[in-house]
Amino acid sequence: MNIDWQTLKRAQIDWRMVLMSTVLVVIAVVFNVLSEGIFLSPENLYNIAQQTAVVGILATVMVLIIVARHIDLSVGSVMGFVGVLIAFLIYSANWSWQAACLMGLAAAIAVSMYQGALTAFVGVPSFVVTLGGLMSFRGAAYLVADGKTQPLADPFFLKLGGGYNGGIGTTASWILAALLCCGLLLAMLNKRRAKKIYGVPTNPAWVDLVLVLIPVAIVLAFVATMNAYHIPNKDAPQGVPIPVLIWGAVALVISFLVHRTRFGRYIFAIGGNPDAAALVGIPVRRVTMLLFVLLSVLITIAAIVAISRLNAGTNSLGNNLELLVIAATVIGGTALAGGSGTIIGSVLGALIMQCIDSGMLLLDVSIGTRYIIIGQVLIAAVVFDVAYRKWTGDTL
Amino acid sequence: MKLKRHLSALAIAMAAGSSFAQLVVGVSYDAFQEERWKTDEAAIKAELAKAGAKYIMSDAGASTEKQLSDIDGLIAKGAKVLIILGRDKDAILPAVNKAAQQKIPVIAYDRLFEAPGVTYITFDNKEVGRMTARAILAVKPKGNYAIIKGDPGDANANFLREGQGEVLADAIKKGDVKIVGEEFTAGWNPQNAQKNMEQILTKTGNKVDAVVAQNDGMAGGVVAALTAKGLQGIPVSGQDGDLAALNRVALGTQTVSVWKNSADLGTAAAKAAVELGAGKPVTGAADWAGGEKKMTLKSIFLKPIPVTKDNLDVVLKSGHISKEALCKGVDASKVAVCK
Repeated sequence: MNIDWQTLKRAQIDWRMVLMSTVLVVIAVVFNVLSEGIFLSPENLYNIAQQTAVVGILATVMVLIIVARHIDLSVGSVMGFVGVLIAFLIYSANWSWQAACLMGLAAAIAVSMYQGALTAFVGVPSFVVTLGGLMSFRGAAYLVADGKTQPLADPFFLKLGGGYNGGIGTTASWILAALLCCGLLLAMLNKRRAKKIYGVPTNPAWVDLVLVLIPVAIVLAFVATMNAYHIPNKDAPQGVPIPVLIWGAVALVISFLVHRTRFGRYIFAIGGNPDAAALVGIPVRRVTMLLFVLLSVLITIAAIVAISRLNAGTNSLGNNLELLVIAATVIGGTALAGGSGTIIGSVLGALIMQCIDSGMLLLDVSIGTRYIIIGQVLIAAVVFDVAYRKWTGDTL
Repeated sequence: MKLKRHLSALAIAMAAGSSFAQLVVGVSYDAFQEERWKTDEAAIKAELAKAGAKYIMSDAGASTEKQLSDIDGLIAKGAKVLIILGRDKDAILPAVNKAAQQKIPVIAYDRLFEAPGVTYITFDNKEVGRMTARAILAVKPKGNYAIIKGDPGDANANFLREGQGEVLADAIKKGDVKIVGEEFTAGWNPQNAQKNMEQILTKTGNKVDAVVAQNDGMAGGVVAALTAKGLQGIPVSGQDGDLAALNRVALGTQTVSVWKNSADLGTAAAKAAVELGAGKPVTGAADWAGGEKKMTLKSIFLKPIPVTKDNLDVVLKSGHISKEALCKGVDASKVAVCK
């Protein structure tokens, strides 16, 4: 037993993630008991997965922004602006949805270039730039369509937000799960091989196997659950909802950027110590600018999912969303001081928050109590974060 | 007749320019960026121009504090009557009292705040609530109801709920109607309403037969949630006469949108302002003490119009919506106005 403990300690296991996942499971089980089995029903889990997607998509990139010692308070407003713009072009200007989305992307990039340039080149703190943006782009969201709601009806476009036809079906879901599981397994084998080549000690095979089987099990359980959700008046079950698929793809791509590209390493280097990063020749300004452009792409994706899910663009779209996104990021263990954070953490953070919110809705907890609890969860998460960093000897 | 009125208005205006001071009416908006106030402003301006009075305005940009200094500013600019769209029913009172000390009459426009001497002009929100519930009850006299309420911080959400409760009370007592879910919606936000509706549907196993939503934006969120479960078409209420909602009424995914023609409200307020400015009592104002503090105020309650599939021509004729916007995607053979 003692030996096992030593191996586990030496194995590269992210204990923070393990703990967070445990917290998530505990929350789910508690709500499930209190709601007499409704919380863990396929329908509710399908709901939660969809409800979390928009916040989750934005939280993945917010991690990078905060890691680089910046903040973006304007995500909600810019998403509202881009969303209404796309809906306006489709509904009022009769554009095709593809063209409208491209235009939305162009607008988002323009916004980010503006905010990014002010931050990176003029040196205005991003807090101030985006605080201004928070107000300005809420106004812009209003002006685009003069405050009028822009309904959407294109059947394909509406799939992007989930909804009635928004699942990919059971077969496609299983194929996807199989691919993902193979990917996880291959990645593990590759890592072991690489470690051997460079003479780095590897984990015992069984530890690695367990480490890969856990995510495999989660993927399979998730797909099984989504495939179990069957809207009563439809012929076939839903399968994985498209917005969740988009969220997953976004998380994978951003993770890839973080772990496998120079851009990702630069961001963490800048966040760790901006002066040192500049001195070793990292183009801090260019990287910051690129980061803002990446943000704009994800804001556009989130905007598309959000308006498609609501079947309309409204000028209140994304109101207060920045708070949820930042909260999800922080609950996910990203240090507000910059320099550290993980994408998978943001996914868990967003899920924890949405589970608590939706769970309390199921239990008819009043809106005031709901806000108090979510606020305190945020604080509890940061307290845990501080304690964890002290324990592991990380600097704050 | 019309010419005569114009002439007399002109005469008043000229007289104002020379001997008397022209009546200056100050309007303090709490957040002018919301779509509907533009309609109100146009009506107020038109009515004041007719009476030869001058219109000045300020916009507090959704800030309670700014509205207080805005009102000082309007008084300093010479406003003799104030029309105030209060951001916060309590925080606004210092400014209202200041105006009262200077004998400046104050009109509480659309939203209530209670202070001595205030004239309250609004749409009857309880009646709006009654109308939403009545329309739903008419098409679904028996079944499980969900109620999607507005922001808990907005007094109107409670007025609406009271009205809805009155209409539904009998049916609930008889056991015909059962309320299976009731939620407040932060910020009246459609996205939050959608989430609330999804959770109510999950909780009840989709056994919801009708939804009483308190405004059109939220009704949009509700319909999106219903559509995602293939339940679109069950009765849903709303209010505001939003263009998208009227389109839904024509499509059949929303039952009713109670429409408050805000031009009527603006006209009534401007008329009252002119009368108050001349030191006369306001025509049609009656005593009312139904507010939180039970203070007796002179009030005018305007009647809203419930717009359903049967009277869609009302909104079309008034120019509130174009036929194209109303009938987008509608099967013209089924809806009379879209032919």
